[in-house]
Amino acid sequence: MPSSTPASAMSDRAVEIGQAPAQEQVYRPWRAIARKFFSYKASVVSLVILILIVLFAFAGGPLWKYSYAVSTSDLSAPPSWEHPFGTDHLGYDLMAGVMRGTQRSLSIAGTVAVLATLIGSIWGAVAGYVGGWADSLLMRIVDLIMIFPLLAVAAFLARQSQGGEHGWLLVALVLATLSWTVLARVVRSVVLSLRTREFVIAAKIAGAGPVRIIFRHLLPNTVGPIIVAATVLVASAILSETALSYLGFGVQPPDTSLGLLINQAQGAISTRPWLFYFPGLFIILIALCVAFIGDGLRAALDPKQQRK
Amino acid sequence: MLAYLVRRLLVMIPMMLIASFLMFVVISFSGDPLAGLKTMQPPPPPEVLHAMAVKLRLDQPLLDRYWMWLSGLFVGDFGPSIHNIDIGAELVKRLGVSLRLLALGIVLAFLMAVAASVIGAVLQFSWADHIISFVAVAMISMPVFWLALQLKRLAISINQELGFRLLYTSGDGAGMTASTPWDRVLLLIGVLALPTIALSMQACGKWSRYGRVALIDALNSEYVKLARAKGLSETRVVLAHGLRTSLAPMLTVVAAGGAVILGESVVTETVFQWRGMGDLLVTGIQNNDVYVVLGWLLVAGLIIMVFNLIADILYAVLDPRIRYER
Repeated sequence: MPSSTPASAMSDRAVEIGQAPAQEQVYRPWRAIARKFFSYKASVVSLVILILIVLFAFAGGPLWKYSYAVSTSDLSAPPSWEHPFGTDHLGYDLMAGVMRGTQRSLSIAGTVAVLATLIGSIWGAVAGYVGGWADSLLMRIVDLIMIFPLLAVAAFLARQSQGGEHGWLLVALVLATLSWTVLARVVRSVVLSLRTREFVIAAKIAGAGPVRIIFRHLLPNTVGPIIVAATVLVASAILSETALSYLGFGVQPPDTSLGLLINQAQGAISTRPWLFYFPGLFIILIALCVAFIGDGLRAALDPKQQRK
Repeated sequence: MLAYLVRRLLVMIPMMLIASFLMFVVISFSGDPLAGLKTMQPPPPPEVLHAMAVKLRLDQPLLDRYWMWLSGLFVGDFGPSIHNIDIGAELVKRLGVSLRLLALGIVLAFLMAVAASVIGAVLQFSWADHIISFVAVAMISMPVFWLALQLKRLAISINQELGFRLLYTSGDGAGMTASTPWDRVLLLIGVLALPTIALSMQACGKWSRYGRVALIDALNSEYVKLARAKGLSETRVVLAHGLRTSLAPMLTVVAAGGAVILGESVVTETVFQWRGMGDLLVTGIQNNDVYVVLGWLLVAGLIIMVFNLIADILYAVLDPRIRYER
């Protein structure tokens, strides 16, 4: 059951704000949050569309009759039943390309979100809890990284080792090492407000070390802001990856991504516009869905809004 | 205020030094600048490779290299280039081109964001508010290069309708001349219009969402109630009392977005084939010209720091509760 650990963490919060759960009726905040989330129509619709896109990208590839890497004899064909998204001037089926590209773009965004969330949360929690010079040092490092345009640094680093089967993983690693800073700031500010709370002091008196306090007591209580910040990260990672690939520094051919597809199509905007519409539509749809899901989560997880 | 300004400017010096060192180390360790040369067919003779390595100071230890680069900066020497580019001169020239786009894009985005947040906050939950909110999210979700390509397509049909070239879809206007002042204005608009719109949309979407919330908060506050009770007109209440304080939190978001918009200007310039900072960086990376990339990042870091400083000063001007004197 994935809900067991967070539930216990949340009951910490319930105790801390003085609402001790009744003995016979266990307080299940995650169920309330889920109910709240599912009451936002835009968020639920977005979630459904995103799941469909994920299925389309990951399950569609093997099922579809054409491969993104094998050309057909239909050159520059507009969308039809045979090629729903059309083909390019070399006869590659665009729907197969979009499936593969979406797969790559989603894998990169997911990897970036997971890694950056891990690094950023731990970094921010340590800075906020330890405080003093360690806090100053850790947060100045965050400031330093934020001075530079992510896209420029990522372009240089990703370019250094070209292509290959795992080329996309390198792009993801580069983006993750540059984008965790936002998470660190968010988590630090939450931890700063929690570190003097009773449950932390109680844990400290009971003999818990800083590592245990950070991982067992502080981080579980910052899950709300972390999830919201992570969704923002997914959306911005999609846009960064596509921009990198568009510039030619991200995913390299023969592999493909949504940004690379648009890069390859830009010479044919007026003659074969479909090549340029479909990949763009998928980028916008993914980013839009993630944004609306994030809005729903923010509203569902924000205790301020629950009071209303 | 002056003391604060001096202190902020002084803090920038160590920040920039540490940042430049960090940058230098990361870039030096991330790969071999001669890798492209070494894999050339036919391979260049070893003497050429050696001469190139000496030229790029690769025979020196890392710390010496950093020192040579740093001390060179003070006399305007940005380091050696693989393709014999005068990096300093090139940076100055390109910066002039790019700053136009950057400044105009940021101003346009900010003005549109303010207008959108005023409409959204005053007409909260109306259809206009819902439409603006949706457009804002759509703008945030739209990749800059896709929007820019879309605008290019649109411009081509506009030009066809008009029968003459009003909007330029490529080039930064360098080398183009106009005889009359009127033609010069038209040329400037034609060159700048599309890239500025493309660059500003995403930022505008982001900023208007924060602006709307900040203005709603401000309009619900006590001092706005007082202003209303005193019988001030609604326009005055919103613009002079509500908007003024809500611009301050908006500025924080604007300042934080400096690095992002600078990165997006690289993409925008690439789509419109400008010979600005974006092109310098992209070709620098393609050629593995490390000192070009280093110089570029240095200038970018400085721009963002100055940008943050301006935002902080405006913050104090706008919000009378904030004073920097101590």
